[in-house]
Amino acid sequence: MVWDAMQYRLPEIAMQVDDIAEIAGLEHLITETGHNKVINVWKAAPPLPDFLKNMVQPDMLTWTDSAEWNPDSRNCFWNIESHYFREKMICSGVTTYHPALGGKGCRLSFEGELKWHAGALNSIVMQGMDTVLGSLIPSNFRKLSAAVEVFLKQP
Amino acid sequence: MPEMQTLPTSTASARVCIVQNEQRNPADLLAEVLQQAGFEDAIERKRAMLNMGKSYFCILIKPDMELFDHRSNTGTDPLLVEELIDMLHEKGYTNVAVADAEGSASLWLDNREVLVLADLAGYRFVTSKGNAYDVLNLSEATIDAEFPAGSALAGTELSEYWLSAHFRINFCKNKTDEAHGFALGLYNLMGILPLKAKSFHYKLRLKQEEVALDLYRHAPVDFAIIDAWCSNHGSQGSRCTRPLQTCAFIASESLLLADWVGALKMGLDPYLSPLNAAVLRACGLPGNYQMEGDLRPWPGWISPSIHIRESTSKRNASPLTQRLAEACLQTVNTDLFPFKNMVDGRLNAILAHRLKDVDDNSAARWGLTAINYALANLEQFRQGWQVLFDKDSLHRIDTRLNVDIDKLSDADFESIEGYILPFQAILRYALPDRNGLRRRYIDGSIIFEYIRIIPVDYEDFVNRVDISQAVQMMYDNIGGARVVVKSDDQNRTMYQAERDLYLPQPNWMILFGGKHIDVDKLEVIRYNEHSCRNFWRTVHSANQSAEYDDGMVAFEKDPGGTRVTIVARQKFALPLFWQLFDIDYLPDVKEALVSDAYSRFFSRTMANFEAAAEGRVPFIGKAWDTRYAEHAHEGIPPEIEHLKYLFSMLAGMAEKWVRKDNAPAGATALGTDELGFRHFASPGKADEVSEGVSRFFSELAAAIGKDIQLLGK
Repeated sequence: MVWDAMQYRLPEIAMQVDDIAEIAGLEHLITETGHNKVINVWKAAPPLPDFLKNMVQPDMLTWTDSAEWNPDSRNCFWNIESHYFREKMICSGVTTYHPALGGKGCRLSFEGELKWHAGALNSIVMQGMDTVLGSLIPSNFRKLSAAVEVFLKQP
Repeated sequence: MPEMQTLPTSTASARVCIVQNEQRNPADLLAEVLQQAGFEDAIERKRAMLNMGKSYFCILIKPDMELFDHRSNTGTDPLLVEELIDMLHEKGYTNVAVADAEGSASLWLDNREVLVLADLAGYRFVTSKGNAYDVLNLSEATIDAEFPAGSALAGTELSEYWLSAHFRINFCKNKTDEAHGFALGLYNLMGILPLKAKSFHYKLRLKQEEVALDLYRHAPVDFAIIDAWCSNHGSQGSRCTRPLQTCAFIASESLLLADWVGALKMGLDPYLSPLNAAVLRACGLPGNYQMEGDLRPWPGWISPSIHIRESTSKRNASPLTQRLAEACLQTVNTDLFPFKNMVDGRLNAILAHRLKDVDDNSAARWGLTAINYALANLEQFRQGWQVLFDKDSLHRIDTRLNVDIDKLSDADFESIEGYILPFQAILRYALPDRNGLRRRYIDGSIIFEYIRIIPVDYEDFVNRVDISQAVQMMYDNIGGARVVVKSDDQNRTMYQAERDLYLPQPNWMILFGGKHIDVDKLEVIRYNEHSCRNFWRTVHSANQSAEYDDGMVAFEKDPGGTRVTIVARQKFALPLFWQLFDIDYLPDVKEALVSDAYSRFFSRTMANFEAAAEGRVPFIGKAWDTRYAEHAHEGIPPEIEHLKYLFSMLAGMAEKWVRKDNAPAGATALGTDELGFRHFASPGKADEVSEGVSRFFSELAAAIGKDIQLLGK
């Protein structure tokens, strides 16, 4: 259930997460190997410290998430492209879905890497953004994981 | 010859077994210790008593789940818990579950819900022999646990899972603790309490020793096991892993006895933990207890030093520093349990690994001790400030009665009036002093009478000022507990037991280490047509702050309104400084100090009665938030309030020092211009914080000075 909901109902689930303004689905495609390719655009709305609020532009918190879901290994490889930083930032990783709680639950393991091209972090604002994004992306994932539980319990 | 003190003992007998063998595997050793300690007999006795079939007989295991990594050594090994489940299944007990409540860490770490924590920490929900078991959350399905009136936990709920279990097993880890010295079964029992902010609710809002005592008495366990296969020693056994292969298990039907032996095996005094000390003093060990096995301390065991224990306990007296320390110092696998907020995560990354090796690194040890003491001193300063100048910011103290009301007879109450009235007769022949106070000394205690007529009609007065609450309305009462023991046919209180806590008297005694006055009293109340009187006698002082605090308060009809009379006998313990400085050698000074202090105290008490008569609240302090951290927060959390408070005090002091440097009297330095001239604001522009700090010192000086001046008279 969690596996399906995260692939097909993500925009609805995201509505329950305060720090995410919107997730818009752009594309769903089943490949010849049976993998599901999904492209979503995320708009984050995290509570930011006052000193960063004026410096952060909306595009800085918007990214396109391209994911490929493999039903055999129950994992999802994803790649994020920031609308503001574009090629300056590389963020990719894998999310794995395992049975847990003696078969009564599902464990989501999230592993990713955020890299910046040389020179990208030479300003204080960029260093601040590195910190914000570095915690924002996993934090959003955790909040989504909690939201999917609530979503699936709804009648 | 001093009377020999004997330990209280309970009537039940019990034995504790220690089985230690490094050649055996842990499952076999666990089975052996359970067999020796009569585990199955204990279950069967309970089952026979309840007359239940084995498969319906519900057994609940409460392991230590203070785990911050997969099968980390700071809690009971999940695989051993599963071994225990298998053993129970083999004997036909198939209704077995594991349970714990959410802890404080769930406030600052993710994945700490009990089910998720269990899964990540190594519980598999199906044992290696295929026996499925549930993990229950003791923060859920809570119902009134029926703690008795007058107990610290009166009104507290516990999980139905715990309350309805037929047999409860406490399976704790053999580990040290930086504040308690050791953290064994009784410490683990505290984990059944349902509120998440455990440190806040069960250590600060309520006194942890009293909570432990109430839990031990009213939510007991049936069997205790200590997992000492791979123990966790060192100064921070609850916080950091430091394994020691002790290859042993300890088991007993008596939780206290298992802890007793566990502490002895660590080479520690079993009274070292304040939790165990309180319960041992109140309940004692089982009578004729037996200890079977090797009691020699574990070789190579490292216990927390006195510096670490003492400084940690003092640091933890503040909700802010305790919360910060918990989040910043805990060693945690952040892949499994990520921090909820960035700041905690960053602070933890900087501090936790630097301060974890306190036993091997003297810089870390003394660094941690110094930080602890610095934070503790800051907290003492804050408390001093509040007691002296900001009493409304203090929290009222909810506590338990130290009197067992079931053991009281009518005679205990009826004798009080006859004890007090002769003092009033003596005082009738004493001349009033310059403050109008009549007083005499008996056995080092002072007896005195204070009378005031309050211009409020007697009937109106007694309708608004409940005579049964008169003692609680006395000046500087900061909390306590009150239980009505007997009422008359008009539902008026006749007998009651009461515990009262007052701020140190005079308040500036707090600067010399003066303690709160903490007294348990029995009270009898008499009602007549035109008067009512409340007589009280102190029967216990938990912190030995009072030898005598007995008396009477009377409300009587008077042509001028209501005549309020207070007669009292008091003798309070002085801080060490004032014990050394024996003021008895300066009788005139003593007379002046005593008269001034008592007349001030009772005139302010009369003001409280007047306030109550006018419908105003006569109490100081504010109530704790009893649901703190249970729901999404509205408003500012208490830790942040606390931080703001500290910050405003310290910032004000620093600012005062910096700005006042070389400034003209009453002026505040603003800075130096390009020509080197220094500029000053007018005194009227000095900000409120600076003024507050200044006021602190001037009022403190005035308070002490007023009493010191009397020395010269």
